[in-house]
Amino acid sequence: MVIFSAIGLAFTSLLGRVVFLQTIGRERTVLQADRQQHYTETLHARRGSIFDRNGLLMAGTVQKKSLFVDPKFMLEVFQEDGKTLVDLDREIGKLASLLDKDPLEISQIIGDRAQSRYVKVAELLDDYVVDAVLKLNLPGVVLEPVDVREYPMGSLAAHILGGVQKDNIGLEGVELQFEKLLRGKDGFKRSLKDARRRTIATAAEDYVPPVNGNHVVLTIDSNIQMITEQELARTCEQFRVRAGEAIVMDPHTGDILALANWPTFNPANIEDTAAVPELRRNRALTDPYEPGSTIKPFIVGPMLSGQLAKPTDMFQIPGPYKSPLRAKLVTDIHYYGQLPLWDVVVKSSNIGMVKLAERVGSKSLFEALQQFRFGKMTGIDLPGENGGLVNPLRRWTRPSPVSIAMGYEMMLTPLQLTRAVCAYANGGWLVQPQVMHGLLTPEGQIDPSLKKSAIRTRAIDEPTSQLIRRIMCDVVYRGTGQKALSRRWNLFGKTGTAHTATNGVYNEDNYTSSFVGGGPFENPRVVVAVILHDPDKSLAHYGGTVSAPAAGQILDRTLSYLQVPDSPQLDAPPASVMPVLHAFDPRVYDRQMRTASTRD
Amino acid sequence: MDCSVDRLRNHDIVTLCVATLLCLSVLMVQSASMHVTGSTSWGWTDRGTRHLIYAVLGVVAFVLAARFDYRTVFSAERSFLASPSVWALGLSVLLCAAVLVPGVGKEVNGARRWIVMGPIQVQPSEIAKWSVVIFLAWWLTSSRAKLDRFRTLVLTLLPVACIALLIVIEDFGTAVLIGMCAFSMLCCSRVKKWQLFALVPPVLAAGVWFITHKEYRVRRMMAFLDPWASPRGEGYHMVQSLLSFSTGGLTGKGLGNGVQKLGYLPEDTTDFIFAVVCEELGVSGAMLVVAMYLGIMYVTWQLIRSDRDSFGKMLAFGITAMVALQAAINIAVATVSVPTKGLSLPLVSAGGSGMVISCAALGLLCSVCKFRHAEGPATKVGVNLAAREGSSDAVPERVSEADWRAWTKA
Repeated sequence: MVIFSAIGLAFTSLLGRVVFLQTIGRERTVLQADRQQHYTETLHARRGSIFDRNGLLMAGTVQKKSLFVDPKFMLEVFQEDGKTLVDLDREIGKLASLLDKDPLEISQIIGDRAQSRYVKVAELLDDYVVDAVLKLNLPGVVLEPVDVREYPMGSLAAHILGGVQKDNIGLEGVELQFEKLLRGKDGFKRSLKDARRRTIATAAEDYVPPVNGNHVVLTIDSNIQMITEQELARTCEQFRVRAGEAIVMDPHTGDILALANWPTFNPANIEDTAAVPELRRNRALTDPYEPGSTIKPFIVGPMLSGQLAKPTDMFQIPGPYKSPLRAKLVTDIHYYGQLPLWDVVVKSSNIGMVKLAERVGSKSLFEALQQFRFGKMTGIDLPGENGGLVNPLRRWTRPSPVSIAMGYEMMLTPLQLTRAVCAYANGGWLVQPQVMHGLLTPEGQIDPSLKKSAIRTRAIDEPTSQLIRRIMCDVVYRGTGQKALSRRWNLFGKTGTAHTATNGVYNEDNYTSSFVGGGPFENPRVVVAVILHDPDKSLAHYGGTVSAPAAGQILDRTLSYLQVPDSPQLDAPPASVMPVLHAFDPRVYDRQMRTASTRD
Repeated sequence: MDCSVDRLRNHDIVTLCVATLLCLSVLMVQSASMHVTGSTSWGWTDRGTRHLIYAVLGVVAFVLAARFDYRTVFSAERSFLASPSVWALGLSVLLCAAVLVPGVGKEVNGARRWIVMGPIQVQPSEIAKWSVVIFLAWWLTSSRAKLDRFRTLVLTLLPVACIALLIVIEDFGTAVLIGMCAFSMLCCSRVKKWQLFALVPPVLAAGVWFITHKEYRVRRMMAFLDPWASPRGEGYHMVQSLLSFSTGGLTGKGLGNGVQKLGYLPEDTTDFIFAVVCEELGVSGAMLVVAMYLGIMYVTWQLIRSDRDSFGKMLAFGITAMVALQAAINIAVATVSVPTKGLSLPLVSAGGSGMVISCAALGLLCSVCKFRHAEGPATKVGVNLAAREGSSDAVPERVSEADWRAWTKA
């Protein structure tokens, strides 16, 4: 009886133990079991592609496979199946021939790390290799998907696209700016596995599919981008320039059609360029510089608009000019005796500008710069923009107006300058530069909801903008920018040649040669800026010699690509202005003349 | 059989318990031996099929053993050498010795426990444990045995100890089980208690020495004390068994839904089948299994209290003690309450020939229920208890063998 009672008691207490293990006693074990029985797999979201405005692929993600081996598992399975090491070697031989590797090498990897569970054997395999490997059906061979970012256009638009790190996170450019949009959201799959890690089942709540990244469509036109990069590179090499930037913009919408920096890089190799951060920087919007003479239309414009000056106002330019505001003489390249304000811009006379500045005063100059929002960020949707610098009025010194009038004592980015030119091209509006054209919807439409409106602030009244545009046309026909002259279109522009300061000291060897302009005059379609730093002075250094031909070439080819109809013959300047112009010959607008004085 | 619960007779309870355990066993062994395949349709596993065949054989053995009057075979009053129980014991000693001889015994998982005879494999220890029970039941109730003498006790225990020592070499668990069962039976006999308990310390000392002199046994003991110290080594079995209980929870995962059996839990169809039962059927599964063993114990309890021959009582007690102890130890192992032993859960684990023999032993218990003999010399004719309990009236107290046969056929 005692014995039966004892056994009965034992059974009861064991039942109690069972209940304990199933309820209170499971805290630790249940976690352990969960870890042991489940395997959570991350389902990588595919990074969105980047297209240009024509729908051409600029950046895309290609899924390739990396091959891993679990040597421990492989050996175990071979042992269980009663196969020998010779069989194993034969199988590895087959694998090696598919991977185009030495069988001995793979055998050695597997042999050396027999207790390891995860050995990488090959990466970035093509689809047909993957299929063949899967057919081998080798135990312990795992193919893991790896997303590779590819840039089918090579180095084209490198600074706009930027690039990604190894783990496909944006480093620069659009890849960085729209990282959140492009990346998407990773999903996961948590499945029940048996002891040999074979999947049994996945519960519905354990499967969260990945949300792939959005496809971004840019305002960039890869054809115009290519034209721009070609011309920029050709010019930079020709004049042994240290660095150069070029921007092509649609003056009505603020769309960046092309943006190039030279020297450039290949976005696919962006991590290799880490050693040369200089190369990666999108200098067109990160590096402000002193614009020099290209600022002149933006000072003259507001003066005309504010009726502080007339195009026919005459300025005496007999020789080097000693301004009462500063000790150093103001010089010009040519001394024309006297020039109307019109020709001060056309011939880019420093003395004329300084005399105008003396007349209007600091405040008017400052307000003129404010009107075009120089020294302020444009708000472009690319990372790293620099706002440049225009000193507030209270920090201006006595000689400041002299420097400002000639385009010194301020720092502008090429992008700011280009936007300012747009105002003269579109009737006086300041537009919002941007590269985002929209997101590609699954239906193949472009969803423009992320595109900023081309915020239209008036920079200057329309008649003045047209007048200045006409004066800038004369720069190309009669003035410093004649090398930009086109056979087919009436282009407008302004050259600039600025001394650059090294450690605060201006020297005679380093210049920034620039040209900003657009075309056609009647109905401007594109605006372009070409800024070249430190051309070889022994070859040339004037903006009209170095930058103007490149800009003219870019405009010519772009307008041709855009199928813009040829311009009619340009009307002569207004009758009130014509008589006072320096050495004016109306034949300059003649088509015959134009043929005679073309570039190159 | 009368279908009323009120008329449920003792041997019906045994039959029900055995049948329930066997059905559960077929289900659970099939479930535990399943593994991941590409196929979604039902299919018997090799192990499940084999176990089903053994279960059918077990039922046959149970029915056959239940139909024989236990006393006609294992009569208490036969002479020493004429008694089949003595011969069975002798054969067991021989088999246990033979299995240790390399070439005769087959080694599985590092333990030489099997003898291959044609298509079937037999564990001599399975035969030995039942022959010890029958031998002790016969000898302890034999009127010739002078059990109050210490010398007789030692002589009685000599063959038992012999078997235990032969088994302990390869199968510590079964040896302990046989020892515990023999001890229980001796407690219930006329043996003087002080003589019996005098034997306990030396046996315990021998057991301790046996455990400590093999390094792996010590490690196993240490692993039991803290299985989490080496969850991938010595503690692996225990940790995985604990995980089975915890993932199942109170309600269980449902029949066939267990995960631990898919390669995580070792010996899932044999030693640790209780863990699989608990994982899939939860606490209700555990209660069902335990209730069946308690049911068998209840029947034996009733037998012992009733008025019948002491050989029958002792036999029923021995069989029940053996089954219940083995079940208790197995469950204790599965719940990590005692160190790991290689004991199966009787009638539930996939066991092959061992399970058939266990079925036969329980059939013998059934036979004890059915045939009531009075104390004293064996008569050719027993009381047909079944007949008396089963029908309401006009059944003679004693029936002749011929009558009995005619009656049962009717």
